[in-house]
Amino acid sequence: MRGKTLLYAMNDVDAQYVQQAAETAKTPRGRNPYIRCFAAAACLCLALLGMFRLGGSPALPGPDGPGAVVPPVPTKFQSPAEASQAPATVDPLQPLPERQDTIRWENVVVNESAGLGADATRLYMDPALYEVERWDMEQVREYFGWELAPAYIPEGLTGGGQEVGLTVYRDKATGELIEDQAGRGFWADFYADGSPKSDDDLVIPKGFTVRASKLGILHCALLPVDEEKVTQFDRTDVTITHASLPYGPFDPTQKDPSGLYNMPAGYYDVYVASFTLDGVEYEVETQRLELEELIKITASIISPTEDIIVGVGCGMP
Amino acid sequence: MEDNEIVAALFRRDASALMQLQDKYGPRLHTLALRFLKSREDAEEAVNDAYLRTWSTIPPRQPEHLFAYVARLCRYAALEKVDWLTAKKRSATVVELTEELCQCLPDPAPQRQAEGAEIGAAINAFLSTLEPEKRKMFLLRYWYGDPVRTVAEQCGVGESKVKTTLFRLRKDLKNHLEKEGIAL
Repeated sequence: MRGKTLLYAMNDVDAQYVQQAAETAKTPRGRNPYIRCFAAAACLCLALLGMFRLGGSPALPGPDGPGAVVPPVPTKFQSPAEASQAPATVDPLQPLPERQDTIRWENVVVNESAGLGADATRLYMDPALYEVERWDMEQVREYFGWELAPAYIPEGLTGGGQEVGLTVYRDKATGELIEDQAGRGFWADFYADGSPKSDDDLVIPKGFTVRASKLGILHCALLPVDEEKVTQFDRTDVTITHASLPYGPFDPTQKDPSGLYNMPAGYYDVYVASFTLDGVEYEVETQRLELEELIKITASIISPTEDIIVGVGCGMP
Repeated sequence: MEDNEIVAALFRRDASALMQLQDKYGPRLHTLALRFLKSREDAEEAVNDAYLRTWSTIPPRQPEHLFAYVARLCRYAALEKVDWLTAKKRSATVVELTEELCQCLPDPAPQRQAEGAEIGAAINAFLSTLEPEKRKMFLLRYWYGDPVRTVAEQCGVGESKVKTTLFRLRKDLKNHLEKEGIAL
């Protein structure tokens, strides 16, 4: 086990570094009284501002539209009672708390889906007409501006050590790209060939994929049922779609509620967030993850420097 | 009692030095051992083993950083115990940390096999290039085995920032090991 060798070799790290790491522990976030004071003051100001600007109606959307992301609200640990006791000033020598964004559940719209669509992206590319190119990570980074690895990756998921690769097709006659869809997966486990593997009894792997294309993704994830409604993440429109999909083994002696198919062993959740950012179309597709995780992943792509909290902030219920 | 006084007591072969060591660092050593071992009894054994090795090696050794010295012995004892327990059941933390560190592994083809001390030296060289804050995050996670949440609290930043930083550091370490021509 080679990773274990590295873990064990860490024992030879310089004692000075080990000592420094142990000695320089900061006060845990949220327990620093100055941060609490600042947070409480900020929360109080926001609450007062909100009352004036929204006519005292907390249910109305803010002046920036129905945005799900409300920056900055560094108030995860504050209760209304604590906020009301906040002092008017804070020590200016203290560092400001890290910026956090709170995503409000009431502003998150999830579109129900009929299920997975057919994969229409893999068209036959006649080699007489189209040239195929394999791009490495460096080319992907140059083309999309990043490596398709979100700032937030749920605990237990990894890229499996696989670097993202991209196969693009170019029209030989014009030299123009005609397909540029890239994808990168983060899963609980992987097979030797890098494909996702389930880490428990269910055969469905747990994890997510980030897909990107400048030319437009030919949507192969979930098909929307009704009119699509969007959720705003920091002024970016995001379409969130959900479907419960069956997994086997399927019981041939019983029918599922629709009466059309054999009874599955159970259902798992698939969520997809679709959005366009800086001219690139993205799809984040989660499998067997909570909606909260999809939101955090998506928000960390749109605002990679923020610390995302899913909730309502200000200690409000 | 200050660290240098404890070391001096050990040099005098004064057994009360071990009591002082336990009073001062016992809980932290126990927490460290528990990061790698599941049961309190196993962790206790690893900590006691670290005390014994400390008693056996000081003197002649005279560590400049006493906690780091004993913690290293404790970590070593804990990992040894993990090895011993492997036949029965794997440590979840070791498996998790191992998987993350796998991302630092260079491609094996062009390199030669490296020994633990050589890898340790390469890691030291890598750590010396890091900013103190990033080095601390890396060590808290992969030396002390702290969960991401604890690392975030210790560093006063969010969990997502810790994950992002660690992700980049693993890649940087991989590049560094490749440059050093080390294969594992």
